[in-house]
Amino acid sequence: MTYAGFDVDKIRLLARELRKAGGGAGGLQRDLAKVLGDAESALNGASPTSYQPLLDTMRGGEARGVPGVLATVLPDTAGEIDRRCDRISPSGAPFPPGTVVDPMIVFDRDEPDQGKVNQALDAIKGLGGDDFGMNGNRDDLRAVAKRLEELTPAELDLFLSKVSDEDLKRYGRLISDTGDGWLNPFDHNGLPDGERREHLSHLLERAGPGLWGKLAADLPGVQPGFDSTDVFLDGANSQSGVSTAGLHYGTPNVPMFVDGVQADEVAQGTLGDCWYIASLKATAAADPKFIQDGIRQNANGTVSVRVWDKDGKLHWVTMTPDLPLDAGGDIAFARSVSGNTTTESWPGYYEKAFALLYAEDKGGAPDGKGGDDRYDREEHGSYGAIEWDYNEQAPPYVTGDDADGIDLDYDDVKKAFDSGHPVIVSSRSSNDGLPANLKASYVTRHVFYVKGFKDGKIVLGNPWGPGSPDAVVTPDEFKKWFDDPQKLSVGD
Amino acid sequence: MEEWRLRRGIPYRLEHGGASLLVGINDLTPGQVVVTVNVDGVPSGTYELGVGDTLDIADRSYTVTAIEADGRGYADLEAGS
Repeated sequence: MTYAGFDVDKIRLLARELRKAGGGAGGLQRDLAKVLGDAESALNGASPTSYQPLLDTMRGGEARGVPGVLATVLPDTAGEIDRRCDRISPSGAPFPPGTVVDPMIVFDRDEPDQGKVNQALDAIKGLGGDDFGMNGNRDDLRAVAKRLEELTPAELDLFLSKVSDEDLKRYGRLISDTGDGWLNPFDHNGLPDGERREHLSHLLERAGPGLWGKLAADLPGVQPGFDSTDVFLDGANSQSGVSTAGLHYGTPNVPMFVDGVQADEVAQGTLGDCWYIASLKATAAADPKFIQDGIRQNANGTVSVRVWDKDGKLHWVTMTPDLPLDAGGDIAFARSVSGNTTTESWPGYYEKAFALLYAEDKGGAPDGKGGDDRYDREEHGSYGAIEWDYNEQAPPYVTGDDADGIDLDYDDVKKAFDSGHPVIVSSRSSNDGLPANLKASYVTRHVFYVKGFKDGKIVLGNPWGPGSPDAVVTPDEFKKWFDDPQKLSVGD
Repeated sequence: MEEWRLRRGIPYRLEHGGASLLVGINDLTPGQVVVTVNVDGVPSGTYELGVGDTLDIADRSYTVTAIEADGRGYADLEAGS
């Protein structure tokens, strides 16, 4: 992924235009002042020449407002632009598209205030004491969080480079533990889920790339783990399949977007989260702009995705730009594909944000591995938390609104779809008696999404994505082989 | 020896001879797995297999060595040498 936000040649052209405009501002000021003076002489003091305060500033020789001040402001601004352009593209050298530029250089940040950084270091070290008082530690943690959020990006980088792993890890543990103290049932500890998410996003959005690793290693909730996913656990198992070994975090070698949001191109990866991908694809099909507007790349290279939490509160979940990759370096989980070739990374970031925020995991469907609870334990903030769940669970996180269950009826589904609602539906747990025409496209215990209607039949898309055939079903087949349709609401 | 674990609900993608293949489990019951092989988005075959049965994928023959239908479920395939 690259962050290319500057066309240096055009920016230098802007500087030239600003300098040129500034050069004319002095003359314009003098001309206007002369007109004003002549008018006053002609009126001979009988009445004011103008009631406009703006014109008042033009009287006299010194420029106190526009346009006169532009004679100095615009050349100064042009000089600043040229100076920064020289730093990122010295000596007029070409600026290759896609070049990654350190935001610290481009934005010319102020020198960090050492005193503020030291205060933050002292504050976080001070959390090492065990006694937070009868009311718990939440107020103490909020004070430290506020202090960290008040640091400029340069100060935050300095802080992170100086803070010990021990202190930062202790802070991470404390803000993540919201449990009551056993002696005092009325205390408040840790930072509540949403507040902690906002805090971590704030830090990530400002920290320099070289310090993301430290944040991820020391603060729970910065990077979702994948070591509890079925695919990873299978890889560690002697009976493993071929696709699991080598799963690792890395930067995708495809852009976030190539041709905008295309729902058809979204493909479920090796994660058992059809129940989420179906909602994402259904929403992307109904309102691509809604999905595209819900993701952004920040100045420091991190990525933020809009997700609503279980209480319906909107969050921009900020994450590092790396994603789980397979041994070959391809995105292992959700992504866009053409054929089998990965083309875009944006679905992976939506999925990663969901993994960080999803808080309703109850362990998912049982795994049938008696005594091995690694597969279906209750989790939070990891990819394992979003494997195997129920179709109505995902929509609130994607759209901000609870899904509405609708009747398992062709007309009701068509009415919802035609009025702009994405619709998802579960399949049954058995395919006994499945007609031959559905043998290849029907998958049991799966979630499909409605793609449209054709010749009186419902066209259902598979979250597996390109390469998987649509299930095209009659109204009767829909009623017999599917269950629990959900109507999503976008932007209500 | 190449082994595959096909897990219920997960698509498996591979390239072969210029074609894009997608293999997935359609259904699992005790002792039987239903697998579809799609080539460039078109189903080339749907197979009902038990342990010991073989399946050809991308010019290789795979033998079903285990089927677990409970819970999330999976089938293990082993490529012939």
